[in-house]
This record gives sequence, C-alpha cells and structure tokens, in this order.
Amino acid sequence: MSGEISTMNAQIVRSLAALACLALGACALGCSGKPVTYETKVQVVQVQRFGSQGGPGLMDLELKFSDCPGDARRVVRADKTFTQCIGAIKAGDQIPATVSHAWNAERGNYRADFTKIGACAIKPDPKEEANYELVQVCTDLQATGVTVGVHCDRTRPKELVAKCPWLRRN
Amino acid sequence: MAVERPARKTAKLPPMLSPRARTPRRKGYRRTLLGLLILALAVLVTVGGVILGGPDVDPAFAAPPRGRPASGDAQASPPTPVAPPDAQADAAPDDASPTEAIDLAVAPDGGVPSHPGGGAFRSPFSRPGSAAPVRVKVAMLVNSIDEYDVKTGTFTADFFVSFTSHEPMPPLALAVANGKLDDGKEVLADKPTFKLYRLTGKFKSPPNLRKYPFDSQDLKIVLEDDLHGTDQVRFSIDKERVQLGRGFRALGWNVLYLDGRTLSQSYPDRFEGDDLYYSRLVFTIGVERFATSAVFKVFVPAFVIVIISLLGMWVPPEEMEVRSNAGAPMLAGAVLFHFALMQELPATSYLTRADKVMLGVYVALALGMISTWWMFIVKEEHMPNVFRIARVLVPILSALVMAAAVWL
Repeated sequence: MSGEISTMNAQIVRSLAALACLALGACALGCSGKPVTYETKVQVVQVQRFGSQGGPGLMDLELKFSDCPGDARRVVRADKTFTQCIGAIKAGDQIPATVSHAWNAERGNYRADFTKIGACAIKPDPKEEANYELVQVCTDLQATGVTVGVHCDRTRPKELVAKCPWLRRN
Repeated sequence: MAVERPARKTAKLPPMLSPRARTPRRKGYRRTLLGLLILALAVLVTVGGVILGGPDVDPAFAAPPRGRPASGDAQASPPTPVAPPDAQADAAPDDASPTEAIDLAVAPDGGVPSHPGGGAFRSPFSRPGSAAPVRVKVAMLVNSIDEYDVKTGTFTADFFVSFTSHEPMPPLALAVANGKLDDGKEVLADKPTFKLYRLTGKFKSPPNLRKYPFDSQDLKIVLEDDLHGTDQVRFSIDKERVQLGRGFRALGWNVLYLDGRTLSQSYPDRFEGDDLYYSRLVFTIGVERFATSAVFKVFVPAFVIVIISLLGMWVPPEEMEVRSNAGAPMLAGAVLFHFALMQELPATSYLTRADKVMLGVYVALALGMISTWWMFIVKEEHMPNVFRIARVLVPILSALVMAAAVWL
C-alpha cells in the first residue's frame, strides 16, 4: 500500500515538475524580451536642429506614424551622427522607419524604439527625457446629434494595436 | 483799533527797482506762475480723471459705451499689461462693470432692469442688439492631477488653458463650477484675441464606486465665464489641443481617456427674467485604478480568509472543539478587513464590488459554521455522514458564493 502511494506521489511530483518546466519555458519564450522588428512609415511633423556651430548638432524629430489609426507620434532626440546622416529633412516628409518592440522588465511593459529612420541608424538614449510618445485615438463627442467636443481614448485599443503592433504596451 | 500801515517800501527802492522798472519782470513772474498753475491744474485733472475713471480698459475689451457702437479698430489697440493674478482676478468684474451689459439695462418701474430694445434674452446680463457672439476656441493641457481622494472626491490639478478668437473677446471672468482656483494663477498672455492662463486649483468630482476596487473615475474640471452669456461669448473645444502634459501621471491610476466638451446651459431662475444661457467648458480625465493593486488589496485577502476557513471542514467530528473554533478568528479577520476597506471609501447608497465580495466571505464563513452546528444537532452516529457531506458541499457552495460575489 505504502509502495503504491509513494509511486503515486512520485508521479504527481513528476507531473508538477513537468508543468513547472512548461510554464517556465512558455514564460522564457513569451517574456524573454526578444525584440521584434517592424517596418513602417512615419511623417515628419517637426524638425528642430540645435547644438554645435557650423557642423551638425543634435536634432529633435517629431514623427507621426502615418499608417496607424488615431494620433500616434513620437518625439526623438537624435545625436550628431544621425543628424549628419539624415541631412536635409523637413516637416511633411514621409520616410520609412524601423521600430524594435520588446518587453522592458524594468518598466514592466512593452516598449518600442526606433532603430532606423530613413536610411540612418538611430539609437535613442533611454535616459534622454526629451523623448516621448503620444498615442491617442480622438473622436468627436456628440450630444443630441450635435458635436460638442472631443473624446480622446488613451487605452491603445485593439484595432490600433492590430494595425501597429509596436504600439502595444501590455 | 487802527493799525498803522507801514510805509510802502517801494518808495525807498532804488530807481532801477522802482515799480515802473520792475513791471516787465513781474509780468514774467506772473506768466511763469500762471503757466505753473495751468500745468498743475492739467496734472490734477488728468490724475483725477484716471482715479475717477478707474484703470484703463483696453478698448478692445470694453463693451461699447452707452449709445455708441464698439469701435472696429479694437484689435489695433496696444496690449493690456498683465496684471498681478490676484488683482486681475479680483478686479476683472469691477473693471468691467461700468460698461457691462447690465449697466445698459433700465428699470423705469423698478424691479429687475431690462434692455429697452429687447434682444434674444430678457436677462439684464444679456447684450442688447443682435450682434453675433464672439466664438472662442478653447484648448487645454493638463500638467498633473494630484491628491485624488476617493473618499471626498477631491483632487488638485495644474493645467494650461488658452482662449483664441478672431474677434476681440470681452474680459473673461473665469470661474470654476466644481471647485476653486488657487491664488497662484499665472496670466501668460492676455491679448484681445488670445489669452493663456496657467491655473491650479482644487476640484470635486463625485466618485462612482459601484465597481470598487476595479473602479474608474471621471475627474472633471468645469470652467465657466461668470459674466457673459452665450449671446456674448461662445466657447468651442479646440479638438487638436486637448492634451495631457508630457510625463503626466495620476498616482495609483491609469489614464483611460480625455474629454473636452462645451455645454450651453441656463440656471434655474435666480430672479425674474433670468433666461440667459452660459457657455460652460467641461474637461474630463477618465482614470481607472490599477487592477493588480486592486486584486492584491481586496481580492487576495478575502479569498485567503475563505480558503483558510475551509480547512476547518477537514477537522473530524472527534475534534469538535477545534472545528467550532476554526471559524471565529476568520470571522474576526474578515470583519476587521472589511472595516479597513470601508475607511477608505465614503458612505454610498449602494454596495461596492468589494462589499459584495466581503458579503460572499461572510456567507462562506457562515456555511462552515452551519456545518459545525449541524454536527451538534444530529445524533452522534450521524456525525460522520454530516462531516463527509459538509467536507464536499461547503467548499463547493463557498466557491459558488464567492464566484457570484465577484461577478454579480
């Protein structure tokens, strides 16, 4: 009898260990932070150059993800190398961009960062506080059939994430 | 008593200073004196005029003088200097009062004054005539929301609000309908067609706690021009510029949405003929409590209490004392926990979700106790049966009750 129980216990322990391994494996796959790269198109909303005299300095770029629904934009501060590479860029330009999307364990959510804008590689400094992202989907607010204002959803709805997966946060 | 007049000194003066010789010089003194007097009088008149007339009002802001239409070149007038916030806030209605619409209203038979020519509204605060109201676009940027207290429904906000129009606006007398602005109002721009303020204040939005701790709240900032009705100023929301500041955080809350809307509304009559509509701005920030925090604060303790109490179901009939005492500490724990939860919330006319969960906890504890009492009631030979039935039935019923408490 005790032998049967010990065999059963061993089986249970093995099953639990297997489950734990599976869970760990799934977590390792899902939460490893392995970045996913996306190609997209951005519209230059604003360009602000500043910094060194004569040569290329820093550059602030306000970029709008033109293919995404709603208003998804990003302000990026680029270094001298990028500024030198990108050359003459102006508001209204549509340029290709590469975005890397990965789990950020420190912040506890997914984050996206540009790795390439146009033909130039870019590595935004995570400590640079000038960088920021704004994502909202605004619709007219109606009452009694009349537009009375605006409603801006900040939750990154499914439709938005389906079309632009790099905007997913959770 | 006669006083002897001293002899006129002029008689003794040397010839070159004789009256005849001094005449041109005296005339010169007189002219100078007269000039000074005129100058002093002019200064007095100017100063008096300024004092009596009150501070200079930019013609662009001023309502038309009585019986005279507003000048069209108001926009070309020099910009008004930015007054200190307090002074401006306090003085705005007074400054405007001499030329406000109500000053043009008359009351020949006494009572509430009205405008002789009539207009769209009977109210004395309405503007006579049929001029179109100034359309003002309003934009807002909320920097921060702090100190949100669900118990009182109050929060503090720091935000920019701008007013832009094509035609000159009347002086706005901004008032908060659901709170109070702090004294630290910053007037960043105060031009006839553009005004920008940075405002901070304390606001009140009644919380909706039916879903607590998975609740979401609407934090509202309601602004209104106290002086001008919709016949003078009409606000509309600048749809592109209702925003949250960079790095905006509402501690403990997740931002769901941002609303900006206008509302034309009238007050219930405050006096006879009080029919004027006012344009109101309502900015709403929708926030929800972080779900993880809510689960760990409310649901986990509640479920732990139930699970531990269920352990009593495995205490055999022979250990009746242990079994009967198992539920009491859990009940005490549940009551204390519920009390602590209630301290965070205001009194409500409904049950919150947390209340329902706690109700489920009480029912689950009661089921365990009932099973023990059942053993006391039945004959001793039936106690093992009751034990077996209770060990199966009570956990199942408890699970059902808790599920119902969570989902209903």
